[in-house]
Amino acid sequence: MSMAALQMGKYGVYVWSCYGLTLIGLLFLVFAARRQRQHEVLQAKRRIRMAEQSQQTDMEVRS
Amino acid sequence: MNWVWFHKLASPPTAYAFARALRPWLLWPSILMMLWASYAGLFVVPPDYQQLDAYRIIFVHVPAASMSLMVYSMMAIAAGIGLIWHMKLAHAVAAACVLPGTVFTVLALATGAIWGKPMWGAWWAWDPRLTTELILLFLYLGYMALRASFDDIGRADRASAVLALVGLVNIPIIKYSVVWWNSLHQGKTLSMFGKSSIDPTMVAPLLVMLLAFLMFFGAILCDGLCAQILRRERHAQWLLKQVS
Amino acid sequence: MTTPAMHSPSPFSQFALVLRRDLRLAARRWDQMLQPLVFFVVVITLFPLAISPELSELRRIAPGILWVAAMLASLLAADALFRPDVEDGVMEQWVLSGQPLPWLLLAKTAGHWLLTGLPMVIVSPLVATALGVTSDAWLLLCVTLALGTALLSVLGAIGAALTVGLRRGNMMMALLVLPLEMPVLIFGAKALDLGLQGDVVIGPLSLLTAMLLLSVVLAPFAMAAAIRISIE
Repeated sequence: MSMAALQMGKYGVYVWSCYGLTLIGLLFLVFAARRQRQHEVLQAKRRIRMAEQSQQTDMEVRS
Repeated sequence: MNWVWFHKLASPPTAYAFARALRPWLLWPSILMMLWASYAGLFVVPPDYQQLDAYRIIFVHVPAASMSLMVYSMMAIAAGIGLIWHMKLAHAVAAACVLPGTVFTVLALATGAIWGKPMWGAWWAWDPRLTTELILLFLYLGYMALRASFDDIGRADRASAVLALVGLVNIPIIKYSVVWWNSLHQGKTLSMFGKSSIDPTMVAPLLVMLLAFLMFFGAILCDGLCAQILRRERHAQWLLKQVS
Repeated sequence: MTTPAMHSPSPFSQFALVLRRDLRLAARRWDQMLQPLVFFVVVITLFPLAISPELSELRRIAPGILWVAAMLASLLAADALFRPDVEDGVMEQWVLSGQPLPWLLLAKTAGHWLLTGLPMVIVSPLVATALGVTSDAWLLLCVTLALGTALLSVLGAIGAALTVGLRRGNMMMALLVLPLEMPVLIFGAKALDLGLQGDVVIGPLSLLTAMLLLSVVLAPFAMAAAIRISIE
């Protein structure tokens, strides 16, 4: 690919910065959404673990 | 008409599993389509005879702008469904729409401003489209702020749903008022699509890009929806099987 | 001995009862009720100080100044629209009473406009004169401001109902309501601007009226939904 095609006359800076910004925005969305879900999964796992532990201590107290 | 499938889909465990399964089928094709459309838009399509190469911005600006409005409408309609039929899943969808919607709006504003610099000679012009987009950003931010200010998720859902619906009714009024206001301020605005003839070869990349953005949003929505469902179903038994 | 009429007063007497109660309460705290009006005048005083004392220059931007000041004053006043009633439990009684809540809230909004919007409309010729607006535009000024402040009251009431349950709802309300009020600002200021230049103003005026009618019909339901959420 020639340099002229990348420079696009005098508009290269504008065009490339637009595509770059869009890429950053979309990548942010992918990671932000995935992080949100993983955070909630971790929370859920912790709650389940705590529930199991409290059940065990219940049993121990009863026995 | 049999609505059983619908109620099944609307139940949190099914929706969770469905969203998890659907996500890769939306994400990867959308990335491939974006790559192809960007390549075509940047290198294959011939330059516009008036705007030369600057119009290549259209392939990211227009999809972002159209998604910003579509996501808001979807968010408001989902919120309305949640408000009227007390459907938790609809509220979860609305909550998952905010972040992508805001990002699309910011992208549309940023790329619009960058496009404006070579076309208008200024980063910002009070062009009706940009102004409407800016007000839309304010609506998203207000929705986000209201949602965040309630501790109880149920109240946050319903209060923000009322706001989203009021905003939805207002959007056509805002749009129309801004266009009308601007038509009286004529002078420095130059229509982006003025007299420039649009090359027929650019239609295909633009349409593919629009579809790719839509599918990409769907993939993001799947992830966000899963997070929202997990948050709302804290104490449900089915979570045990799903996450462990 | 109770008559059936006492159990369910007619909608109009309900409206009048709520309105009369609010006006009477306001009369007892008239110094508080003056605050939005004083705010309106003070904000307008800021502009000549910030921009220029030249009357010719001020006349050109007078519509914008008047409208922005009216919008901010109405917004600040709207925060106190439902808060006292929610805090002392009156609103809860209304919700439980089985009477049409949107209708009662519309009456409260009407009272709010009478107490904050109308005084601004009455004072506006005075402050407009100080901004170099000539007396032949007074009628137009009062009409646009009357329509516009009514619309601002209705939209502000939605914001007030949404944020009344929050401890620090003031800033939040501005964030929610101002974007929704922008069309009012555009049409109101433009009608005034056209009028000052001697143009036809019927277009923006009828649009303002249409928006007012639409919001009076729809907004009370949004207010009622928001109040129910806020007080639970």
